[in-house]
Amino acid sequence: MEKELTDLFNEKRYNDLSLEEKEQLTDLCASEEEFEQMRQVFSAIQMSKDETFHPKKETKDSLDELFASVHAPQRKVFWMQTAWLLVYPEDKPFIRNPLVQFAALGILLLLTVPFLLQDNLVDQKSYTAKVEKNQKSSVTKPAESSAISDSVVESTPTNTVNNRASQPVLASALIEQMGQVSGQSNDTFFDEVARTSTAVTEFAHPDGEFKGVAAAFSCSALDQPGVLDLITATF
Amino acid sequence: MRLTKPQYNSMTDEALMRSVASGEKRAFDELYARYSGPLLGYFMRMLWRDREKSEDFVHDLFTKIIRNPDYFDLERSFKTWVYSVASNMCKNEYKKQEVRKNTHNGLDNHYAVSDTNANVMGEVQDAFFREAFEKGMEQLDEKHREVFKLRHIEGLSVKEVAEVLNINEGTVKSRVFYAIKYLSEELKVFNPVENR
Repeated sequence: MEKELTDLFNEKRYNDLSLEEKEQLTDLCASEEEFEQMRQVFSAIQMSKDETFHPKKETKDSLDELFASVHAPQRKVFWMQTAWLLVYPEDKPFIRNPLVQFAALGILLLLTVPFLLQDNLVDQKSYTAKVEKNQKSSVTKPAESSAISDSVVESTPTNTVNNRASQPVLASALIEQMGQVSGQSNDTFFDEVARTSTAVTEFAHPDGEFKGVAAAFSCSALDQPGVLDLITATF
Repeated sequence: MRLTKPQYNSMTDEALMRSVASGEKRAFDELYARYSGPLLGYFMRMLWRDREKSEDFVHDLFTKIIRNPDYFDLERSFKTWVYSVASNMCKNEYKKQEVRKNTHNGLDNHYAVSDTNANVMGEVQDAFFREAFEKGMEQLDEKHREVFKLRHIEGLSVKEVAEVLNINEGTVKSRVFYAIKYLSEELKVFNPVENR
């Protein structure tokens, strides 16, 4: 409303006003003379508005110095506060604060990593011990036979090589297990097998195939000369 | 946390004031760029066009902003707040001048310095007209002058003027109306219709 009145005075002459506009202005001016007087006022206002002022540079320089002196010591504290608020925002629940979450993660790692390392060490030790044991036994009597349990190792084309690598361990472990099942009896057959045989995952040994109680064993015909007799008798 | 630099020139006055309170120099520079000129003009018009005094008042006002940014209520409009502070500063100055007026020799030195040195007739006419307008404004009583200047020279809305001066909007309108009527009478001699 006010803006429109100002526009009327600035942009129109009295004779250009419509009846509605003249009605709008009745409070301020009822005649052409009064209208022109108002125009004078508004043109003076416009002149005053157009007048621009710029403070001296010294004023700004002085304020800049003041600003630096007031805020410089606070700046360091401000950044520290910002960093603290970043890791420990007060508006978040305790458990959702990044600082608490990082601390919890750190404690979790501290507790779990030693156990994981310990397990790896135990595995490595037992593995090397078994390998050494088997190597010693193979030095005294080279073994070509092998043993395997269907329930322990499943033979697939892809894991054949891997399974072969772990043959000594599997064989000896299996024998130990069997020994436990049979009440620690000194079964000479199994002792012999444990000493001389190696586990295979494929039942395609060129010298023959034997099935035990729960496992299939493959032995070298050289170590078992009696087998040759059986074959001879068969054919 | 912000990852990009804030665009101070697109920030609101209130947001800038918040940044000033936290020590951001560029925010202060932006606020100064926005308000130093209009405030200097306001002080010039309110303080008898005394340039030195007006500069000092601008300096004092921004000093208040730097030293005590907490005085600004973030819920309020910065524009109305800063003009209310400026208005109060002028009122205090009027009181000081009132005391001096009672003791000085009676010479009015408010218009002692005049920089109108125009030779061209039009410019002289303009200068007379402006002077008459300024004189008319000075002759208005304080409450009408203040409302009129804030509303029509500084360009505040009726609502903002009401907030600055802590009066109701109806009072603002009636005071503005009175001031316009008064000034139109003062500028009657420049009226082309009157002089026909």
